[in-house]
Amino acid sequence: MKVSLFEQVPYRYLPEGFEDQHSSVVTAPYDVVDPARMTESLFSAYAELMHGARAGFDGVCVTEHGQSAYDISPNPDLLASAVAYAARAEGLDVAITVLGRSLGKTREPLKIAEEYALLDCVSGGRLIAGFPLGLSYDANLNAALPAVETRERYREHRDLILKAWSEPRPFPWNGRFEKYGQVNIWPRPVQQPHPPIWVPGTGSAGTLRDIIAHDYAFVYLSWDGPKLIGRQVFDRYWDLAEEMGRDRNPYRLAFLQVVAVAETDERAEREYAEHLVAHYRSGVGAIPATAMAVPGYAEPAAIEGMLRASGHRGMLSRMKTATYSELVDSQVAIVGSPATVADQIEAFVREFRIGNLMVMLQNGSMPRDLTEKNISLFASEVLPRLRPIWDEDGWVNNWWPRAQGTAGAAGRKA
Amino acid sequence: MGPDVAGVRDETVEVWDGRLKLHVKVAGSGPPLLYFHPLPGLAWAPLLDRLARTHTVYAPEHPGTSPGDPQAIREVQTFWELLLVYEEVIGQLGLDRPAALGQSFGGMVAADLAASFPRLFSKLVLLAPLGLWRDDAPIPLVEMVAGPPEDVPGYLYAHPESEAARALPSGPDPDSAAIAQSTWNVGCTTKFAWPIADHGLGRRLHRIRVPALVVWGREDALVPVAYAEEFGRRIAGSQIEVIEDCGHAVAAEQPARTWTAVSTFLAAPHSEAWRVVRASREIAAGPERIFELIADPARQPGWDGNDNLAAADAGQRVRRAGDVFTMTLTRGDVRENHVTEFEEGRRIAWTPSEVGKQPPGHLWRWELEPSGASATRVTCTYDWTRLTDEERLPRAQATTAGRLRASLDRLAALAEDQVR
Repeated sequence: MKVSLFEQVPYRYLPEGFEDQHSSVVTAPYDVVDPARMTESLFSAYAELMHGARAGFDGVCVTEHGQSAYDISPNPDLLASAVAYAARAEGLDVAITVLGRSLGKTREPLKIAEEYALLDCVSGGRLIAGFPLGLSYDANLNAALPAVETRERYREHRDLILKAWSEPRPFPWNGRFEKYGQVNIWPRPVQQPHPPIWVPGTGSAGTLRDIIAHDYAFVYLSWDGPKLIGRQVFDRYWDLAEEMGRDRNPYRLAFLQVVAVAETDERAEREYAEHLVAHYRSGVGAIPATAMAVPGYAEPAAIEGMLRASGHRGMLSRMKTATYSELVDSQVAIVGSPATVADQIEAFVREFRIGNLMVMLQNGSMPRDLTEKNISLFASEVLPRLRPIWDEDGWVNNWWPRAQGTAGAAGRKA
Repeated sequence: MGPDVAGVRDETVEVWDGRLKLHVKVAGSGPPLLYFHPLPGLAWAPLLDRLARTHTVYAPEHPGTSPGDPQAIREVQTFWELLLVYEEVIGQLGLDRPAALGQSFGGMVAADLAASFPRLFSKLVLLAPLGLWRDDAPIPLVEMVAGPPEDVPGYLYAHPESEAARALPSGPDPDSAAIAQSTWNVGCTTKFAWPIADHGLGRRLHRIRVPALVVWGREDALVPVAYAEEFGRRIAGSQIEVIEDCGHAVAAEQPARTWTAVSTFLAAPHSEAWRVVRASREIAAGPERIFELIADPARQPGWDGNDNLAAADAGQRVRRAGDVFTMTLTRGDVRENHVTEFEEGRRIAWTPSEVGKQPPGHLWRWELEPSGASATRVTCTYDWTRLTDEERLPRAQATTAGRLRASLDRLAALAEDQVR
């Protein structure tokens, strides 16, 4: 299987009790920030991604959120571009996964087409193109687009980007949201007709059907904890895949897991617990429920489903008050020695048939040195146990970049 | 629907080239009245029952808000299309110039329909409408819609703890289906109000040519009461009613006072307020000097902003009501002007007529009010309420506040020039 390092870009020095006063998104007041510490927080994220690339991860992953304290990544392509260049300059064969630029949020979908194409070129054909809808607060509050149109915009933008990547000659586009006389972007992706497309979702049947129909990879960002809801999401996925005539190739799935690994279980708890708890409380846990579903973002049937299912929904709604043991018991975070961590991951990876694993190894206030230890230890002690999973089954990962040539620096002899 | 739904029937109107089947609740008897509901959809509130006693009430459900048909909202792509859909609905229902009453979001829809199609309605009632934006009076629509549900009454009511406020449309203990529906409804309406409910209505309101009543709650925490004046100023001849101790949901929080204002307005004989065109401004000169320029007909062509007056003989200075002065028009015709009101230095009014004939009914009035030591507030009124001659109507209608304003500005230039 492929194992990538996933990283958010939090401000690492939120004041104690931040989440009692503030939302982590949209209205989070910037005056809690010390500019020097912001600089350090951002720089650390770049450095840690490079650390992961050097440590032997198959890929690095970043996401987009605006007006956010827990993921300061208004355009993840900027971060991805720096890593794409640096990794290639160092001869590292690392996939660049942007998860992504939000297609339902953007007012300029062709910018996404251009930026992704550029990333694909600079990385030598190592881009994985994430096509997320965008969270409601991002699309409907930060970008202030009418919630009821979010999915319609998404579909049009996706069609436009795909056509812009593959159409050899300039073409007009008369969409509902976008109108152009001549679309003719430069550059185009190295990977034709397009880089592998990964689509994050919460696992609703409608989204899954769309992903399966287009043969994209389904990305599950497991904030809820795989133990609590993994089964219902992945059972639904594989049932639908079968119903729609797709094979059981595990590489159709990508899964994000928060992991903290240390020499022993005790030491892992001692070193990571406070950062994990603070991360969930002040980050994801401090996103108001209403900001995740501005009226119109979800259709009536979906809202009704969510209301009926509340209570069985895993940890997401309880993050703000979650304790360390709740986080670990639900596997929202997998914490422990290399053996503990590897055992737990291998179990759910095999159970849910996951071929592309992303691990998030930095959380909230976690400092750079501890994060880099987490990265190094995972890469040296855990990753080698996970990588061979699925090898014996002979599945081909059609959702992994088809890198062009060697990983060596462009313009030099490898 | 609310508790009293007796006699309310559901009509389905097929519009938009068959792509939309709009549900319209109908009740009562009498002249037609269209009701446009606020953000969360149609609730058959007591106001509608009261209206149904004197009117046939037609209450369309905004596309997408009818249970079982959520996707209807996809068929209406823009606010302009929404207006066209409603224009079709009115035609399909066979209504001839109904009255229109819109609340909040519905007020914005009703106002823009009246501005876009000036002959569509006979009267217009706006209860705290959305539709305008002033930077000094921001409307916290996004904060309300995307904020915690428990904060909503605070935006809608002056007294969010009151019984009226707690009886929000979805009822005391709504089930998940009702919550899902009302949440979706807000998504369907805010589609055309997001994040700022301003489609340029302010640039069209001057087209409204029907009697209009604007009702506002003094303590409106969603759309501040400053907008009452804004609507009133832009809709010629409109009547503003500000209700004290009242929030955004005027009909729910102050039902009796809202009803008094609305019913009085609707019952009044077809108001001719819009046939009274008015403009006023401050002029930096004393009233005597300005009055001289008006009361001496020979001076009038010098400031006429209508390009209507050519010349008048000297020596016709008006001194009292009953005087008649003669004016030659730019087209060459001669008019006798019968002075109907006169107060030296303060007020003069006259009705023009053809030589030797009865005045057809229109009237010009000038009023001067000293403002400080050396300035005067001058108001010019063109009142064609009594004008019945069909042939004269287009010309009367073309005499807008802008034309009056032009006269005022020229008058100001002349008067202020004399001062210097």
